Formats: sequence, C-alpha cells, structure tokens
Amino acid sequence: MIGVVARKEFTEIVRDGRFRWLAAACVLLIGVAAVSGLQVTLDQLRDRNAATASERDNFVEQGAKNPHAAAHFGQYAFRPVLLPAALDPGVIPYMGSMIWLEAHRMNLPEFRPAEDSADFGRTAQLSVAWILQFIAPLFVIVVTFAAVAGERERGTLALAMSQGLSPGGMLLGKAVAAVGVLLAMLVPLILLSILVVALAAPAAEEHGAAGRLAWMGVGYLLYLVSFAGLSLLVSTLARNRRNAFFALTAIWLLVTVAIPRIAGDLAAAAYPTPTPTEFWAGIRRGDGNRSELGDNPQLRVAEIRARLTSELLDEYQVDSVDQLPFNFTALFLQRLEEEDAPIFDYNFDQLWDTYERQRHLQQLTSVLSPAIAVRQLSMAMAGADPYAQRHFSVAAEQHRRAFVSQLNTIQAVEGAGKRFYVAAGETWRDIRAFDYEPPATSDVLSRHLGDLALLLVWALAPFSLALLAAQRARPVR
Amino acid sequence: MLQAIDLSKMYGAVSALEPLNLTVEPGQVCCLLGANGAGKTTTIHLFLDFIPRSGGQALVDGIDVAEEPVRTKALLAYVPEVVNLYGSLTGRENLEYFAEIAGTRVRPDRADELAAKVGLQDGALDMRVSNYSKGMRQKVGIAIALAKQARALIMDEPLSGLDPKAANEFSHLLREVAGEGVAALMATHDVFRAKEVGSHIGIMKHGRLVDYFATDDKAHADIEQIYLEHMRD
Repeated sequence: MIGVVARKEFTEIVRDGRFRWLAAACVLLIGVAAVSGLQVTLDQLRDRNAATASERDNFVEQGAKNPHAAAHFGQYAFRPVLLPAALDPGVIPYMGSMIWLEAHRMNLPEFRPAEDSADFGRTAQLSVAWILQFIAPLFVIVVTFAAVAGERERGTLALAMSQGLSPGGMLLGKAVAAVGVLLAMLVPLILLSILVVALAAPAAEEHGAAGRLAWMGVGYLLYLVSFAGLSLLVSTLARNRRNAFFALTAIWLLVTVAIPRIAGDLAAAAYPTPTPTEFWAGIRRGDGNRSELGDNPQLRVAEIRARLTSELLDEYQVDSVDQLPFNFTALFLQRLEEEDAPIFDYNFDQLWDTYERQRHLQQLTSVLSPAIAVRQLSMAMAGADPYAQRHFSVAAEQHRRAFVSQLNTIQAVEGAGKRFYVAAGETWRDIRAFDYEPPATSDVLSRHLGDLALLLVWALAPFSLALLAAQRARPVR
Repeated sequence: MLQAIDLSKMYGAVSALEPLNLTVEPGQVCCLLGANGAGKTTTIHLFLDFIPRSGGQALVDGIDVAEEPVRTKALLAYVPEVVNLYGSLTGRENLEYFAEIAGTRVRPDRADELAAKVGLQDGALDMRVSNYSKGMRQKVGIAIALAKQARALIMDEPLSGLDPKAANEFSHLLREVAGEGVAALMATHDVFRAKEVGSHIGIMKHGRLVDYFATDDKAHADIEQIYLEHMRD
C-alpha cells in the first residue's frame, strides 16, 4: 500500500507544473552557485599553487646569509583549498588563507578573501550550501505542505480511507514520495559534484574530496528529510492547506534564520573571542608563561640569556661563551623559541578552544534547529570551519618551529667559534618545505558524529510524530 | 450486513444523531430520506468511521467499525456526494489507484468495462480528471466502488451531478448489484429515486429515524405523501 501511495504521490508531484518550475529554478540556482563556486575554488587552488612554488623559490634562492637572518626572511604557509569548499566556503572568506612563518613569532592566518571584496559583492555571495540550507527547505515545504491537509480539504482523503487506506500507510507513502523527490534532485547533484571534483582536481589536491562530498550529501539529505517530516506533521495536524502553509513558513523562518542567528549570538556572548588587540596583548604580557621569569620582555630576554650563559659555562667549564664548542647565539635563539612556545601555545589554544566551545554550544542548540547541525557538518566536510583553520595553523606552527630549529642548529654547528657566520646559498635547499595534509575525512566525521546523530533524530522524529498524529486523523472534521 | 445498534452522535450538547437502530440485509437497498441536517450523512460517516461515535455501535458483517476500521472498510464501498479525484491523474489512473489501495488490481480491459457500465464516454477514462465535469467524476467514483466488488455499498447522494439518463442507468446498476447480494445504504433527497431503487426507506428528521418501511408495501404516491407529512411536522 505504501508503494501504491508513493507512486501516485510521485506522479502527482512530477506532473504539477508549479513543481516543475520550482524544481527547474532550484536546479538552475544550484547549478549557477556550483559553477561559480568551483570557478572561485579552482582560481584559489591555482593561485595557491603558484604562490607556494614562488614562495619556495624565494626562500631557497635568498642567497648566502646568516641562518637567523634566513629565519627572519621567513616564508608563507598557504592554506590548502579543498574542492568541497566550492559548495560550502564556510568561514574561509573571513579567516586568513596564509600564515607568515618567521623567527620568534607565531602568527595568525592573514589575507581574508572577504577583505578583498566590496560590500555589495559580499551580499551577492551565493553558495550551494546556502541554497541547500535556506532555499531548499522552502522548496520541500512547497512540495509537501498540502500532502494531508490538501487531501482532506479536497475530499480525496475520505474516498481513499473508505477504500481501506490506513492513515499510517498513507503517511508513509507520502513520506517515501517526498524522500524520492529529494533523492531524485540531490543524488544527481552529489554524483555530479563528485565527478566534477574527480575531473577538476589534480590527484595531489583530492584530500578525500569524494568522501567529504558524500557525507555532505548525507547531511543535507537528512536535513531536507527533516523538513519533509515537519511538513507532513503540520499537514496532518492543520485544518486546511492555508493554515499548514503559514505554519510551515513560520517554522522555516524560525529554524533556518532565527534560531541559528540567536544560537550564534548566544555562543559569542557566552564564549567571547578576544579582539586582535587583546589577543596580542596577552602574548606580550606572557600569558601562559610557565617559567618563573618576569613579564617584562626586555628583562625576560636578558634573564634567559644570563641563565643559559651560566648553565653552559658551568657545563663546559669555560670562562666565556666564545670558548664554547658551538655558536652560543644560535643556542640562545633556540632557547628563546622554546621559552616563547608555551606562551604562544597557551594564547592560541585559548583562542581556538573558544571557537570550539562556541561550536559545542551551537551543537546543543541544534536540538531546536537542524540548520545548525547541517551547517556545522557541511563546513567541516568542506574543510571550511574553524577546526580546519586550527589544524592548518597548528601544522604551520610546527613547521615554523622545525625550520627555525633547523636553522639554529646549522648556525650552532657551522658557526662554532665565529662571531658572524654566513651560510652558503645552497644551505636553504635542505630546509624542508611546508607539506601539509588536512585532517582525514574519518577524523572530521568523528568530530561531527553528534551533528549527524542530531540530523538523524530530526529526520526521524517529525515523521514518527506525524505517524502518531495520522493514526487519529479523520478525513472529515 | 449493515447494522446500527443505538448508534448516536453528539457535537457538544447538540445531538446530530439520536440512538439509531437499523439493519440492512444482503440484497437490500435502504434509502435514507430527509432534509439537510436530518442526520443522513452523519449515519454514513459513522458507518465509515470517519467521525467518532458518541454511543452505540455500527457493525459491518457483525464487526464493529470503530474497533476494526481497516477490516470493515475492506467489506465496504463508498460513493460520496461529490467525488473528488486527483486532477493531475487520468480517470483510469484514479480508478487503478483507488482499487489498488483497496487491494484490487484493475486490468485495462476491466477498467474499460467499468467505464462503459457507469456510462463514461469513450476515451474519457484516459483524460486528466482536471478536465472532467462533476458528472464524469461521479461516474468514476461509482466505477471505483464497483471495482472493489464489496459486500456492502454506502452512498451519500450518489446521483448528485448526474444527468437523468446517467441517474437512470445508475438505478439499474444499483438494482443489479443488490441482486447479487450486496447490501446498500443510500442517503438521498430524491423520493422518486428512493422508491425506484430502494427495498426499504428510512425517513430521518432532526437526527432521528422517524419512519422505516419496505417500499414493496407502498405506492409511489403514498411514499411521497408520508415523506411530506414528516417534513411538515
């Protein structure tokens, strides 16, 4: 019976001219957003690859100089561009795309794409994720709001129930048809995205894109199914189609706009992020400094130097640092790096942990809105969430510390006994290039199992409630 | 086959149907006559379990409709006053759909046969229902009921919208199915049609069955007289 109802429902939906126009408009909108997003992403990918190669050349060919000067010459670490970001750019436009790596200092990512666009350009941003999160639920509502209320109003429900159609069977049939319509629209979109990514991306840039896209698809399918369930529930309870439509429009506004906005504001108020000024002030103050050294930067540096000098003179039983079997300055610079590392780690961890707490609070509010859960999952799978930024930032910092340490070691060994040591130009070729691999899809997924579970609950709960309501549904009131 | 035992319906303090006792045996056609609001449609809706009863029982083949709604509906076919179908489907698709949810498959030749039986013109069955007249929809509704081959037929003003020729054909059809042992309960305003097809007539007024008799015992003029007298009171 469910199959019979589903087939009839599907035929009715597909034959409805309004549905065809609406579906065509949605597909067109998604197509335009996907092509435009892919174009932007491929441009970013090309620019990033070109900049990475050029940056490496600049570093390697900086010529003969002191290794510490080479550390100050620095290098940029460029954030990789994941192809699923073509569908969901997430927070990428608002977070930096590269980090300047240099001696003594851990930097925040800089060069935000949003800074390069005019304000009117910002408002015109249209992504597939945005369409799926805001417009597609409305499409689902338009297709399903009359499912039960309309049948009751038209009188077809009475005839169908007189034929022995059970309310549960009718509702499940309608649910299957609604999901069928969504699958018919979403599956080709997902497969096409995977195909385009496979064709467009060089193997090295794949970064598990197919798997990430597939999980995004699962998330969006559950999200839209939850709206189909809500729509069937309201349609079962509503007196007529008009009431069902207005109630669902209000729910749509609440779930996709109001609750996510309130949740975001709540999270920001509960766990405020520091302004850039406050953030760097914390580092300058030495917040998180684990040594008993004071907070005054100049005194701190002088104290570190005095302590190291004393330690080494004792250990090597010499009277002057010039008599040490290695270059003292290099060791001092390395010690400074090691003393500063906990301060950077502390302040940066605080910042990233604040983002994480905000995410957790928002995840809790997903109980009230599946839009929050799907947004978090989608951004994460697109590699466009704060966690992806943190992962990149941490990897870049590890690389900074490794290459600065490598340069200090070269100076310590090769510059032993020399007051001014200049390394040969070829030296820099041995310094490892920044080679970053974004987190594996399975890692991202494990972090967002809660979002997936919430989406699953959202997909099933309204259907279950609608099923309960349908058991008591009467064809006439 | 159809039995009401003290069946009643209240809407708050207002009584839509006073305790009703009625039996329609296989082969009988019981026509309920009465003005608007007399309780005819309420009786039909209670037999179909479309509305919850306030008291008593409605039984189909001895089974309580409120306790086993799906099982009793398998024994019933229903023709409403206004047959509403799915406009984007053809008449044939509607017929197939409603038959299928009743657990019956209607082959194309059987659908054509049913269409001819209810007087639907050639080719109409393959037109979208949105292009149908009220009478055409009514005919498809009757075809749906016939396709089910149910043991009881419940009809609420089934002749509404039918032209005189189609109404006459329907009367013949109804007598034919009753002759095959089907029990029929029909609500109507039409005294002439009630006398023509009914084996029994019940007159309802203000939610009460005020008279009930076999049509064989009465002439048409007598039935009309009885009905008008009840309406005058």
